[in-house]
Order: sequence, then structure tokens, then C-alpha cells
Amino acid sequence: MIDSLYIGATGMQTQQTQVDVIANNLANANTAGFKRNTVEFKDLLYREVGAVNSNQQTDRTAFNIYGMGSSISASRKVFTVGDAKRTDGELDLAIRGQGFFEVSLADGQVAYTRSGSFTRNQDGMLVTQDGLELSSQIQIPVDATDIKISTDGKVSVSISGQNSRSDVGSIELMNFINPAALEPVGDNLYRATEGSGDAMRGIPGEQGMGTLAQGFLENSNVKLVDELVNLVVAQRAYEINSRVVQASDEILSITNNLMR
Amino acid sequence: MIDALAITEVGMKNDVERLRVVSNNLANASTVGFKAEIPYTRPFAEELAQLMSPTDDSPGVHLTRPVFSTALETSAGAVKVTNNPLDMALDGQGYFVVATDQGERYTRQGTFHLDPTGRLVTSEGHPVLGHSGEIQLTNNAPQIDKQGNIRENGKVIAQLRVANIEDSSQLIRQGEGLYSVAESTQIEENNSINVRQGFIETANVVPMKEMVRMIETVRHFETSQKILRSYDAMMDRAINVLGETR
Repeated sequence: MIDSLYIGATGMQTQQTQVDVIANNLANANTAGFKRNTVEFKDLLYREVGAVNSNQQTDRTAFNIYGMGSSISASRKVFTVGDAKRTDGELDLAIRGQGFFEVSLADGQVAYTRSGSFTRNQDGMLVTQDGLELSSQIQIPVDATDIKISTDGKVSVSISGQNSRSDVGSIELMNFINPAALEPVGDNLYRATEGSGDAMRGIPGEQGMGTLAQGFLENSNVKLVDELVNLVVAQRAYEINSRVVQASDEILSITNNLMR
Repeated sequence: MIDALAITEVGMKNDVERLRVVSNNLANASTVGFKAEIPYTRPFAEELAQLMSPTDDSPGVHLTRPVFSTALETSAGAVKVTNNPLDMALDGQGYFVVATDQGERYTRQGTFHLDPTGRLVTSEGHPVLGHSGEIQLTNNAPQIDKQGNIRENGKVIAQLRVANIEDSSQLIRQGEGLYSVAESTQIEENNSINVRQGFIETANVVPMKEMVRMIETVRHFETSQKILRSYDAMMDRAINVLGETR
């Protein structure tokens, strides 16, 4: 059959993927710490049409190689910082800048997250809303009040009966050379991959690491206007590619009707 | 008699190729840095003349150039803001230079990111070249000015190479947004470049033009079909009516 049929189909498939990604972004527009996805397209490898004369070398010259449609080259997360939303939660932390919290999973492995909505478990350890412990292992004593977390991660509490505040630990952040290559595993968690580079530990505020803001949560970095504009474009691109498929169908139908 | 059939056949094959070019343009309407192809055909009379006059050193019928060709539409696509520090668009002429296993390649697709060692690479993982070779970064939010100087913490660590390829017919498409040039082509370094950080260049495909081409092509194909059928009817009459022996 003719190439344009398949090329139109690749166009429709790539736009379909684009719409799926936009839909996921919009569904998570209010998820704290969510990072939006983008899709990158590429044009597909070309095939050559050789010269008729077999004596000639089939060179890849400028006018005998053709395109075969489009495809997805990458679907990556954009790690720009979302706006900070004030919650006044004592254990809510927003990272202003780069970096991730490191948490321990049930199977002993580590995962990373931007979602700083923490709580205390029954042992007083600082855990995420899903019960995962922070790798920095902060334990808040049972009778502690007025928990303060400074911008560089130092956690201090007031214990009744003592005049001065006591330090109970320090929260460290982890950063990557290429955070866009982190693998999202759901529940606002990411895992390190080969492409992201090794995790680099650091104190908040030092060497490019972001600072902590207590009482704030980081909103998603989804921009509604951008997503809707992209949705409109994707829809129309899908439609125009479907017209190409229709035109190819018409041509094939005409060809079939050459012979009565 | 055969001439008309041959002519129509060439016309119909060209229409199928035209439709392929149109569909490739439309399928890549969202591909960053994509340059649309313009289909064109040589007049049939030229083709026939060439076929009928073989040269001394290669006797026999041969085509030295295909009937159907495409040219590259090199006008700039619209620039879209993404605010991603590693996205770059070139305002005006010029191509980014990347290194591949087959040598240097050129591209307008500025959606770059960092590989695990901190090298600046394209979506497909090819390193982007600066004036002193590959570009090594330590964080993914450098400052890049109009001349392509890449600064981290105020210090210039590299400058992007932007190549000027004056003759667009020298560009050979390699797919995945890359172009190569023949060995003998002159590559000049561009000195009046304008690199815009946080922007990407969208495809320069104009859907209106492509739709019009598509309509023209399909109707032309239909016309050719009618010519073939009327030809067929004529021959049918000649054979079965005029040539009746009873």
C-alpha cells in the first residue's frame, strides 16, 4: 500500500501520546510536588530511493532520501520549581530550589520525593504520609512541642521542663545531575536510574541545593494555560493527520477502480 | 498509443510521492526544529528527451536524476517559550553542531539535556559541540547568553558552536532532526548568532499549504484515472469494434 497511509498513522499515534501526557498533567495539577511531563517528537529515519542506472553508486545525495513520519523520542519530566503554598503545617516542608528528600522503602531501597508533607509515626520518627521514613532519621521525642525546622535543615524542639531548645537532627537533601531522567514510580516517588547520575548528598542551602521552608508545600509545576494550548494544537494536528489517512484511502480507492 | 499510458502512469506515481511528502510534513507538524519538504517534479518532456539521448560513456536508457524531488523549506519556525534552561532556539540562520559516530551533524532541534556525566546532549544522546569540543556542565540550569556563551556561577565554561550552511541544497537529511553535508561543503562558523535560552523552534510546516497540496494531488490523481479509463475505452473500441473480423 502507499507510504502516506502509514506516515499519517504515525502522526496520529504521536499526537495521541501527546494528548495522554497532557491529560496526566492536568489530572495532577493539584498534586503537591508533582512535576509535569513533556513529550519530544522526532522525524523518522529516511529510506533511500536509488538511481535507476545500476552502474551509479547509490549516494545519499540531497534528493533521493525520504521521510517516513514522526515518532516519540523522549517523554521526560520538567523539574522547574512549583509555587509554594502556605499551609502552616508544622511538619510541612517545601524545597525552595533544587534537591529531593530521600526516603527508605519497605524493601530497603531508597526513593526520592519533592513532596514534603511529613508526619510522625508511633515511634516519633519523621515519615511521609505513606509511612516511609526519611533517610536522615529524625526522631521527635514524645513530649516535644514547637518543632522548628530551619532553612538549612536543622530540626529543633522545645521539651517541657527545659529552658533551651534541643536539636534532634538535621535533614539532608539529595540532588542529581540530570533529574529529568529519574524514574517516577507513583505516590510522588522517584527512583534513580543510569541516566540521572549518582545521588549527591548535601545540606540545604549549600552548593546549589535548595533551602527548606517550614509551613509550606510545593504546588505542582503544571501551567494550565500551557497545557490547554498544547491540547488544542494536539487535537488539530491529530485531525489533520486523519485527513492525510483519508486522502490516502481515496487514492487507493481510485487506483482500485482503474479496472472496472 | 503507449505514450499516453506511460505519461499518465508517471503522473500518478508522482502524485503518490507528493502525498507521501505532504503526509511526512503533517506527521511532523509538532516536531521541534523540523523543516518542511517542498515536492517538485521535472516536466515530462525533459525526462523523455534525456531518456532518448544516452551519453557516449554509458549507452542505453538511464535516468541521471529522479523525476520527483524535494527541496528543504528553510524558513524559521515560530519560537515557543518553555522556560526549560536547557532548551535552546536559534534566532535567524545557523545550526547547532553535534557529534555522532558517523561524524559531525547539524540540527535546529534545541531540546538538550544532560547525560549522567554532565555532558550536554541532544534528545537522542548525541553530544552538543562547543568551540572547545564537548560541553561538560555541573548543574542543569546554566546561563546561556545570545552569543552562546554558557556560564555557571558567572564563569564562562564553554561557547556553543553554531555553523552557517549557506546553501540549503547541500543539507542531507539523516532523520531524528539531524542533517549532514557532503565532504566538500564549506562550513563557516556563524558570528552573528542569537541563541535564545528557554525557547524551542516549532516546525515550519504550514497546515494550510499542505492541505491545498493534498487536495490538488488527490484530484489530479482522479483526473489521471479518468484519462486512463477513457484511453482504455478507446482501445476497447478499436480492438472489439473496428477490428471485428466476423
